[in-house]
Amino acid sequence: MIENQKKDRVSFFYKQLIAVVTINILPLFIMSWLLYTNFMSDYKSGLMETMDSEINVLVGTSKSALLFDDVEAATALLESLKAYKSTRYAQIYDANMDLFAEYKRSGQSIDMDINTLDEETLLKGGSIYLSKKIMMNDEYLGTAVISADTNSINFQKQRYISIIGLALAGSLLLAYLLNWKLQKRFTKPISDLIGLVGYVAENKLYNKRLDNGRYDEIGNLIVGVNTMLDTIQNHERELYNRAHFDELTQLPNRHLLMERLDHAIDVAERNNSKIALLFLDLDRFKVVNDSLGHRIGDELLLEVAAKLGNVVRKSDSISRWGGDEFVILLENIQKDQEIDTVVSKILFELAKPTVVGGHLLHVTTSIGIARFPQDGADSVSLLKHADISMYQAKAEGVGQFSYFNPNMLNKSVRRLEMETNLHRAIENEEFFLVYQPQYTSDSQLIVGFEALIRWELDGKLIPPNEFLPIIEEVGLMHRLSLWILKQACMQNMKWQRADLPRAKIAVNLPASFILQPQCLMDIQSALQNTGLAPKYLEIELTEKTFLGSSTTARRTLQSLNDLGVCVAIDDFGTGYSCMSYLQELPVNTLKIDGSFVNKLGGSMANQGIVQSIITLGKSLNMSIVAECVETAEQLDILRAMECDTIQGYYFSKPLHPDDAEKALTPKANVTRFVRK
Amino acid sequence: MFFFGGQRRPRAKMLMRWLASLTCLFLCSVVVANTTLSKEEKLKAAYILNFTKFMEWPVPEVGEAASDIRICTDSSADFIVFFNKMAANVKIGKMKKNALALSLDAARNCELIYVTKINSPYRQVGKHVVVVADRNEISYPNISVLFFEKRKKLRFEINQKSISQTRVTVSSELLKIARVK
Repeated sequence: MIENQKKDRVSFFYKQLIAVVTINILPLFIMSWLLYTNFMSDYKSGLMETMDSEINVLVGTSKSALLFDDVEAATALLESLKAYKSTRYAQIYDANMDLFAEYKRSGQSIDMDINTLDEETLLKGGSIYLSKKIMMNDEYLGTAVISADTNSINFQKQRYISIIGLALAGSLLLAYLLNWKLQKRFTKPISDLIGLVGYVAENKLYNKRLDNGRYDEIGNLIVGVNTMLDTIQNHERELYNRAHFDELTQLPNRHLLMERLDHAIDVAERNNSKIALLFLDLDRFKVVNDSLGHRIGDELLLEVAAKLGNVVRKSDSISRWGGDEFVILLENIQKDQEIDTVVSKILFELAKPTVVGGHLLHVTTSIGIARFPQDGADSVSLLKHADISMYQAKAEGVGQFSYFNPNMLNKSVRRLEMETNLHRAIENEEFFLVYQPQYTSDSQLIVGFEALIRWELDGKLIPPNEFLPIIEEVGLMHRLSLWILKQACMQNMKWQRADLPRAKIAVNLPASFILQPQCLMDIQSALQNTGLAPKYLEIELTEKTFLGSSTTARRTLQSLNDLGVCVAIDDFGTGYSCMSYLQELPVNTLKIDGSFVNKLGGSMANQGIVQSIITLGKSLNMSIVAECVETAEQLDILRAMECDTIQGYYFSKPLHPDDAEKALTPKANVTRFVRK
Repeated sequence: MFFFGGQRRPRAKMLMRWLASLTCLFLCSVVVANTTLSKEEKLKAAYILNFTKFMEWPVPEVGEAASDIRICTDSSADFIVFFNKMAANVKIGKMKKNALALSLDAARNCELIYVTKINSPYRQVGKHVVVVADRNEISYPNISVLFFEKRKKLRFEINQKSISQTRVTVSSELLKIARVK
């Protein structure tokens, strides 16, 4: 495009040059014209004066000839005009207007009658005619006539035009050359600027600068352009850094990693060497991030990045892929043992406790490994395979690593399909809830239900522990939790409107939900939209969620509690709850973990633990729920321990809403068991 | 009174007759002069009149000043009459003088003498006198201008030496067309 513009346009330099030369020449033209007309006027006047002088001389000197009738003398006098080349002819007439004497230049003829001439000058047909009376005192002696041609005027015209034309042409040439030279000199910095701008536009490089030794406007312009280029270069550098490096850790980002990976593959192909790609994903980082906040999460990522930097070789590349994922590129690998060594070091270093923001954190990572050339021939497939391997490692537990195996592809494909199906299920609301009744331990009346999520895919129920982690990973957990909350409230309200006995509905909420700032608002909104009274809703949180909850989350729970919503600790006993910690929490219900209930009647120690939990809960004025109760023996023991509520297959499996409704059909005084 | 009294009529008649006769005589003389003078003589008369136009005489002394340029000649009375008639209305020079022809016999203080007779006696008629001779045969002292004929045309010769002695200034115009000696 620039080339076309160059072809199509006349340069500014030449436009300016032409303009200046034109302006210079215009006054010269005007002056030349004035000079020419003045010269011509002077010449004509001179010619007239000469003719006048001639005729005056003729008149003055021809008197005696006339008086004495001396034609010879008169003729000789007339012939003296031969010296004047413009003179065509001259005549002397006597007082009777008879021709007295005459001179004619060769080739000329008398073409004007004396009677038509007066004493004025007559210009006619390229000739000038002049006549004058010859007087002697008052005596009229005769008339003298002179005619001259105007060839000399034309000659002078041509001469003046030639001289002025030459002078003009010379001036034009001189003006052009001088202006060209001067403007070339003056506009050189502008040409340099144009060249610089062209260089920048063409090459997209901002590294050149112009030397500036001027202190005028052009100097200011150069300074401005240089400054602008500095700014652009800085922005360019900044953009490059932003495009290629992670803002938090300053490690190369995925873009730069891909470039390096491509380059590494090229080098490995040339050198017939191997490379390994390690895909790291921190275990349970989301919990840390959600519970301790993003600032702590970011600091933890910085710590991890620093630890990784200490472990790998200088020739290896560490990059942050995104979130809590890092990718390490190991080049020039000879044996797999070298990879193992690096991986072991990474796991060992990261496993060391890290203090971040006053919190002692134990971080582990899962590592997937893909090697070139056996696990992938290009950067995309290598990366994909390392990612798949990482998921395999993660499935094997925390702090594990896994080399890529082609079989993982099928598993990965299945997982991908599962993710797609889950997205569709969320969109189409393919999930449904079942409700497991909670009975009083003594009267065996239903006092509540626990809402449990179910998903049927291709006619087959998918266990929640299979799809819920994926839901969590793909970021759909909050949306699903809201849906569950709303559905459970709606269902309970529906039963209440059917004038069924009042019962609480317990909903399991993940830590990620309760840690959201808008959690309280979401729950309130669900209650308001369905019209359910808060006391008929119970929020179940795991013991681990409580342990990791932030001050904000605890305030939220307190607010919910104040609102009337019950809060229960699910799976109690599996964590490491501090007794005094329990006292501070706004908890209404303890749900004894099923693993303890299952062992009731088998181990006295286990029975002691259950008894202790019940006693503890009671002492803290909490309601105790035992879940997974499957036998009469377990029921008897729990009843003996004064456990308040029983949930489990002994009484009922989770029920569809219709079945739950039937189970809830009025029995005596159910509502009196509802805790107020 | 005598001329205009009772007896005056015959005298007045006589005077009228005398004047008429004089006028007739004058007219007749002019006519006669015109008819008797040759063309050459007339031309010479014109030339002489023209000479005075190109000549300048010294300023005359007190008492010598005359209102006319006097041309004294021994030529015929016809010539004198013709000349005077011709010069009657011609004013010459800055002083606008008239040229007047006189007979040489009775002349005094002449500016120019025109001698036509071969043995015309010399007469001292003035201090600055230009002598014009009718032809070459005439012997007269200090002849300044001499008529001659060339190719049947009347021409004249100016003797610069003679004329310079007269202290009369001659215009170069005249010299230009004259044969200068």
